[in-house]
Amino acid sequence: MLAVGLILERGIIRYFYSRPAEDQILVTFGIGIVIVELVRAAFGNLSKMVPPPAALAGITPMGFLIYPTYRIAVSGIAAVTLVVLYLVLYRTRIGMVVRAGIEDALMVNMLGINVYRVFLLVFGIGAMAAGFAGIINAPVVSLTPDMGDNILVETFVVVVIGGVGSFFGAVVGGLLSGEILSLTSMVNPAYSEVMLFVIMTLVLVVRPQGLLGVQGRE
Amino acid sequence: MSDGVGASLLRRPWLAEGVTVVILALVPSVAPIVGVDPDLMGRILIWGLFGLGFDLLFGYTGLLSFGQSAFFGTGGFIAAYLLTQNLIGNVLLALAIGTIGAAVVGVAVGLIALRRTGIYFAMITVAIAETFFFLENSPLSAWTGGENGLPGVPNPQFNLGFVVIKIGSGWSMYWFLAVVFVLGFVVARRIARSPVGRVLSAIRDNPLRAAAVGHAVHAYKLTAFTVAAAYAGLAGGLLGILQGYMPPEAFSFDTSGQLVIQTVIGGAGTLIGPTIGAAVWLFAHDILLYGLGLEVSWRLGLGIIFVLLVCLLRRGIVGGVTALVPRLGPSPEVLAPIIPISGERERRRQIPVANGQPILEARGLSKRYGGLIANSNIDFAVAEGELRGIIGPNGAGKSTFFKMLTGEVAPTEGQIFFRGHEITHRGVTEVCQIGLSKSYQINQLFVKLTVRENLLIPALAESRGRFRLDLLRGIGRVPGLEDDVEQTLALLDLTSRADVPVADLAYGEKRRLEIGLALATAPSVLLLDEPLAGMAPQERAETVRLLRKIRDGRTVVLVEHDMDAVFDLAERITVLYEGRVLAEGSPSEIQANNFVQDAYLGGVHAA
Amino acid sequence: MSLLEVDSINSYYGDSHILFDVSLRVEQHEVVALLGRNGAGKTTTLKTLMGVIGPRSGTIRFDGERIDGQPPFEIARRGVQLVPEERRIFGSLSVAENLELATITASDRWPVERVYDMFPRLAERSRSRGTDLSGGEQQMLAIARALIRNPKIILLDEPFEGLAPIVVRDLLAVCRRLAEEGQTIVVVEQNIAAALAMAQRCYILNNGHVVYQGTVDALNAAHDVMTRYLGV
Repeated sequence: MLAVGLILERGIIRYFYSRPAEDQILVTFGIGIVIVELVRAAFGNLSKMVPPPAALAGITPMGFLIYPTYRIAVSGIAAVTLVVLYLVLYRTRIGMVVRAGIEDALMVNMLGINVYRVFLLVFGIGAMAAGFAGIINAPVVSLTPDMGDNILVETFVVVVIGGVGSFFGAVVGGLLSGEILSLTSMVNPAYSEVMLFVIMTLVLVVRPQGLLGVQGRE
Repeated sequence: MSDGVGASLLRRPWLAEGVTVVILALVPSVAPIVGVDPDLMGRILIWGLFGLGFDLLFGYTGLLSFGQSAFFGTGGFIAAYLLTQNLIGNVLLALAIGTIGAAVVGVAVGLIALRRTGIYFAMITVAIAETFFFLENSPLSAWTGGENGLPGVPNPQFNLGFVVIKIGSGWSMYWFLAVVFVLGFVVARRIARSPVGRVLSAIRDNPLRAAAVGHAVHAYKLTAFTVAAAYAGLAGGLLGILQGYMPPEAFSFDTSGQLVIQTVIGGAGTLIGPTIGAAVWLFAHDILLYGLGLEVSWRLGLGIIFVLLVCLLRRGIVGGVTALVPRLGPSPEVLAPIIPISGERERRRQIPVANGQPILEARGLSKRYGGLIANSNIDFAVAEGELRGIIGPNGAGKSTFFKMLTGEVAPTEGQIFFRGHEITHRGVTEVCQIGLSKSYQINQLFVKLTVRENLLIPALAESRGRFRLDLLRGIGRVPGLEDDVEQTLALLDLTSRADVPVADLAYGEKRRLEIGLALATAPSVLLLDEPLAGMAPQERAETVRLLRKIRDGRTVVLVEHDMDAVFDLAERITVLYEGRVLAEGSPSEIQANNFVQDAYLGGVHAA
Repeated sequence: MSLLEVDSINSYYGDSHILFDVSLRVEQHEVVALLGRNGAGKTTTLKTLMGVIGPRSGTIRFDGERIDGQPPFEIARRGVQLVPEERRIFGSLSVAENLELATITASDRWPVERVYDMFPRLAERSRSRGTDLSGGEQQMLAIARALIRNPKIILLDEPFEGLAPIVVRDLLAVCRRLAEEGQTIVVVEQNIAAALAMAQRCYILNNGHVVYQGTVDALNAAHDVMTRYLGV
């Protein structure tokens, strides 16, 4: 996925930085369709059940409840990944460059750093992270070519609620969204997703930069 | 439009409609030869109708919505419900109610979604569409049939007294749909060529300037959104009738996505683009699926075409065709046909200025950004007919001061009076409407339009006010419009360049047009922010001549750094320094003022 | 051969013609002031030198090699550094991180102690985030960030703007010290007194043209020139 991300950025995305937002939305939307269809062409359309690795299969008694082991493992993997990502972003040089580049790409450029390579890397890592998420999520939701569609809107909701441009915002947004889903499910399971959308719309209208977001990104 | 989108075919009156009618009439004769069935043609027309409204929203106004399925489904299910529950017998009436229902929902959704722009707007539309999909499936399934939809939608029937026309499936259904489509097309064309349509194009191009020349941008956006919802609702209702069944997939995200893709492929901003895109989509589907038996590939192929078009040929098929065939390109008849309506122009009623009272006044005006003080306690007054210059070194606060005067920025403290009435927090659109407007330091033109079309936009606001719902009025029927535009062109010395697209103008000509946009709002007070910025000496001289012409009958305030020009033009000069008024007086007084010289030449006296 | 040779450059901002056949030169170890009113083209000149804007015609030679048309990061690696008018320090990074980022591609750098010696205030605030600094401190950080790369030439865009007089005085002292240590500087300023206090030679721009060049002493004596192009 890293390779795919890098190629896409080099080949197409980089020409869209200065194009209007609508064009950026359209091209990424289109690329998404193409990739999904390529996957479908290569691997067929049926959904596949993917069993969790043997070591993580089964259930774990946790005192007052019994929970599938793999899902606990997924939470663990996600937490570890977040910690790693945090350390990279906030404790390494390259992370520092990425943060500075997000804030002021031209100034980074003037300080002698090829900022376009940085953007390339960011896009590639983003693609890789998405791919990774797909892999570990597979045993939970089963594998289909368009499994990305379902989670896409939820991902947007997480980012919008938690705040654009903030690492902790994404974490907080994710946890909050999960809570919203579970709490609404207790009342009426069918409404849980809708609740998420309602909250997202409210946030977008009232505080568009999200809870922890950085203002000024339209 | 001269932005390259749409052939002149689409601009000669009735030619496009006529051609469309002819083509649609020929289809039933030609289609069986090529092996195309009426059901396919019917679907193309329904998507085309859906796309007419969407194109007004996206192609003309620039609002990319991924949630049109919400209105498509709403209109469709309302109509289907009324018909299948036998609440309404008349198919046309049910369709009308469905359309109106979709429009009402459109207004409600628009009020929420339009509070944001760009990707946030798109995301809200997606969220709302998904919500509608969910509502259809679960809570409202008693009415909508849940995942089964509503079967049993009857065919239309027209009782004309002497004959009863029954529309069955097959070519009679096609004729029915074709008639509705043509009506929808005619209405959409009228809307596009109405004053409202022009304002929408301006909003797509430069919403900031559209508001600054006096248009209520939000209200127009909501109008476009509602119109799109209405078309969607009508198309949805027709789908139910075509199929005899209203499917839940009408609400799915795929429906919204397909609409977007078809519009881009056919060409946004052309009205007929979505129909062509639908034809491409549906033909490709048939050919690839049945012809070559490639189930997967048709979506892949279309996806690749879509990405390529967005990257390379942003204007789609219609745009590509008009680019290749110059004869089909823009014709000079922008406002054709104009039937000049002489007669009473509703000129803005001016509140007369009392003797000795300044026409524009600021009292104690301050602006703070957190700890930074941009303007501090400014008192400023200009007499009617005066030509005032404002100068000051860098960081003096001139731009901020101007922005407060026009209402772009709200002052932290202080008040602004125009003709004796307070205008402090009225906002830029209203301030422009009462007669105060500004030309910008960095050009804020409508770059995709011609010179004449640019000048039309402020003229429309001037004659029609901040918002008017004249959707079906021909642009030629706005009284006095053409005269106003011609006059402004003459004043700017741009008459020979009137039909040139902005992108092809020389820099000096663009600057003149920039001033012209402010001028065309018929202001009594004109603010000019560095009108000479970036000009070569020759252009400077020309612009100074223009400024002399303009000041007749108007009050002019200009900010400039070109000292020669300011001292030549201005009768009085105000000097701003570090956010305050440092001095005010005649040019010679200012030149002799030591404090002013010091501000420019002195600064720090190193200890 | 001068360190910096600018020959008849024409720069545009979009299609607005800002610089008209501007030529200038800067010798090593010199401090040159670029003066003129607002809109004269001073900032555009510095941006053109730094590669932020590419000149449409004309040449720029640095250390004997052409740099016109190159991207900013290449020009920075050759030893040119611009301290922009808006300072543009990274607000989300600390003082120390701002400085560290500047050193990443510096082939030759100052030890951080030397930077802190020149700007003791920054040493005190080394762990503060950029957004928490005062205007004067931000200006110092912006200059320090440029200096830590040991540039052959440093371009200062209105360094004294918006600063309290006492801060200006301190900053001027720093700049003079740099000049004494041999640093080549081009300073753009509207604060004439400060600019002339640190420079040896100067150019005056008016409406995008170079209208005067000479030593600072000569300019100080030519009151009419000062008034015509800099005053009112």
